[in-house]
Amino acid sequence: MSIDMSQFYQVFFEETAEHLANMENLLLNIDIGNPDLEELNAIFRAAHSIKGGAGTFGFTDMAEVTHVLETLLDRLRKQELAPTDEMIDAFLKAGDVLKMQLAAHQDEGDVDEVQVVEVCELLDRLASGEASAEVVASTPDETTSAVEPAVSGHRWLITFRPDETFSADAEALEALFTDLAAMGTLERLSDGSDGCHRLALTGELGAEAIADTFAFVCEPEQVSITPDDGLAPATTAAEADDDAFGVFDGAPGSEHIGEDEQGFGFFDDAPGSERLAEQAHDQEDDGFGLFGGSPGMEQVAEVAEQERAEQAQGYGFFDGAAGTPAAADSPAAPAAAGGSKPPASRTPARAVPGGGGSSGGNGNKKPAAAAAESSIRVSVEKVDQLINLVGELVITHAMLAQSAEVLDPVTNERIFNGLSNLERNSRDLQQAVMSIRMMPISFVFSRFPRVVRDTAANLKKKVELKLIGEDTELDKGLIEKLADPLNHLVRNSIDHGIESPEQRRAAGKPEKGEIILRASHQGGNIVIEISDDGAGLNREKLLAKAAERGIPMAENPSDKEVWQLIFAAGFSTAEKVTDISGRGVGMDVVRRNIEEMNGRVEIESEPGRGTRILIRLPLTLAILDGMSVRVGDEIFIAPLTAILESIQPQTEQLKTVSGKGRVVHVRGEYLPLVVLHEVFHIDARCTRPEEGIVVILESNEGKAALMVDELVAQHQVVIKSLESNYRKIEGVSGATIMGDGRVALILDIDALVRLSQKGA
Amino acid sequence: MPKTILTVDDSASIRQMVSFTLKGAGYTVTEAVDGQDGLDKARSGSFNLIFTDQNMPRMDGLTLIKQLRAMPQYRSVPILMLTTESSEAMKSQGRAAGATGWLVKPFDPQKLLDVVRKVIG
Repeated sequence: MSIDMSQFYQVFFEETAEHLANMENLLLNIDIGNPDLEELNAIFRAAHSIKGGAGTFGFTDMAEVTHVLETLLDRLRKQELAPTDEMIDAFLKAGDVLKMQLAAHQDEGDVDEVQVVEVCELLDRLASGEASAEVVASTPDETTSAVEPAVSGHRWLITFRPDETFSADAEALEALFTDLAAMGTLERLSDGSDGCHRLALTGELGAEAIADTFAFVCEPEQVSITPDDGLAPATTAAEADDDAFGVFDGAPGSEHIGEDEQGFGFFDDAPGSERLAEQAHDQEDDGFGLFGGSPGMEQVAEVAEQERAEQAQGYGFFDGAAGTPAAADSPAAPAAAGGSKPPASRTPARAVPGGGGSSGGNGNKKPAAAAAESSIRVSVEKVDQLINLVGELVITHAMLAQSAEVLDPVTNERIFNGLSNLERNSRDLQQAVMSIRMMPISFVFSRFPRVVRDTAANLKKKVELKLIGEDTELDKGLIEKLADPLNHLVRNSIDHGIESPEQRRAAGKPEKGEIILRASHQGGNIVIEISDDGAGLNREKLLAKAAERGIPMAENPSDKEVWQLIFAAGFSTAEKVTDISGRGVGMDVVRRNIEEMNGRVEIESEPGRGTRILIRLPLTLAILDGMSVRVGDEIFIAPLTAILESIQPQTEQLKTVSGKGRVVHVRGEYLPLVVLHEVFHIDARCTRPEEGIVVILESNEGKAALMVDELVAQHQVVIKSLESNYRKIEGVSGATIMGDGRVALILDIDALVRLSQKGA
Repeated sequence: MPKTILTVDDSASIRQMVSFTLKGAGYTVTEAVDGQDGLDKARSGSFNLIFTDQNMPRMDGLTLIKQLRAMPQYRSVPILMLTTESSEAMKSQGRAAGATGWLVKPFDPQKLLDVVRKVIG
């Protein structure tokens, strides 16, 4: 039977990408000084899973990298080595290499072999070069002097979990350690503060002798003794390849496979072995084994009896493994059957039963696999098509409703009922379809721990990143467009916001700066906040720079206006240009990107306390809550989120100010007046502001007043791109189709304000 | 009646491969995503053979095996560890926990089938 493995590749790719992301996350969160064993286990498990899959599906390059990665991780989680910054860096690099290899397997890039070799060598060196365990002096919590253990004889790793009464008895403990020390060179790898003592004993002695020593003080389950073979990573295994089964070169355990037959075996003595030889003996074969006498061997033996011929081809069974009711004397408790020691032929009593010390542990991997099974993958085009159709439906409804307006509501009650049902249903449908496109913002946020780490390291600053509201959902299109601007803002915060550790200390702040990325819903908007506790913006410096650059500023500008200067093209206040945030190219691009998403950027800053940048975005790029306004015969849509209020100004409120054109004086503020019919050259019905309506708008350029003939109504409008259907027009962000079938333009408030200032 | 097999692995790709291979050979296969899930599924079903990974979130393979062996209906059902770790230490832990045998990852589908045929026919 030949099975095409490529059909499983996609799942493997997705799963591996998830493991890599997860691993990176965990690595970035690790506390070097006090690593969480559970986290180390979870990282190990991720590497381990990748290795298993890569080996199975034939991606040997990835399996090789994960193998060296796993070797080092294994030593960390067994607490034979303490994690260092260098290791974390090496792990991150290995993660990058794996990502590169993964991409190459998906035909999305090439592998740089030099990097692969480099990272493998680095990991090898870290795992073996520093192989000597750190010896903990008898005082706990001091992992200072690393003493080379005596190399003669065997090195045994002992994990000892005494019960409470014993561990409370310091004298008894010391006596035990003295006994052990008499047998060879004793190193205490942990102080036992977590209830578990980890020891290493080197000398000419066997596990039995050690076990005997412990037998006086505790139950056998409380101690596990394993030979320390971590010093020699498995690299020697010859490729064991026979017709049907292959074993990975250098895969862990394959060195044993060489000795056994090849990696398959049964446990001797496992329950079930009484009846037949097969049942009673360990059986080993390439990559598979049965424990003779283990539970279940009865069935195996039966099958074997029937199929003797096949059986001869090569499996191995262990003599006397636990599990077969007859072989084990205590069939009721097979777990305890480990006590009936197998003829110690191949297994030199490496672990005392019950010593599950190195077992995987429980990670925090979400039940993603289970969730994945109840989801389907659909191409984005299909979803977009659906959204378009819903948009058409909304427009059709608007047309129907408009046509029905002439009907008598009493005689046509059923039509009106139907229309209102249609409206409700299409709104629900629209929401449901929109939610398909919604993704949690963690898709963007998740890259930042790494960005912050790398950028801060580059600039020799200490920065901690906090992510808040990662589950906040927004449109996939927005998520994609948000990545670059956010990246820029975060790097900018580290570069210009957060001070050097020395400066921070001098200012009485903690050395470690903090950057918070927060996402939340506010009304119909998504608000993304990037705040730092750095030096804040410098008003004088910004103003001086503006003067130098010839950027026109009002005489006594508000802080808000000054802060907006950082978004001006070619504006940088950095004393020296770094490769991180460049030469001021970028911040203007950031704002433009955000404005393209119909978003707004606000800055708040306090000298010495830090800077907060707020990005407000609409929930989606497809639908807009708008106010329709009339100018002459034309209808325009103003985004509702920008509208503060509407007034009919009195003549005395209107003034002309040199350099600013006409302004409207509203409650002590002078707002620039944008006359829509002048911007678009339309014959308006009202030419004087006091005849029409002035809509007060909030924009990136500050508040402004927009003069129109009249307000018509509030709508939800479906946004159609003008650029893809016609061409870009300054002052207009898109178009929509109204209920009567006419096209209305959607106003781009920021651009309009700029446009009218230029004209003034 | 087809023989029933439970495969416990946190890796979706391995699970899919095992399940596809064995279903193709006429076995009835149930998948579980970790030790705890495996235990729940074992409790509510009945299986002729169980494959389990070792390193899994929530509950590892050894713990699962011990728990299964404590249940009367699984006292003598073959349980194989499907694991990348085939060190002697791992094997003796497996033996002590009550595993019937092991199969080293990576393996190919044919190997898996050979082993299953050997163990439950």
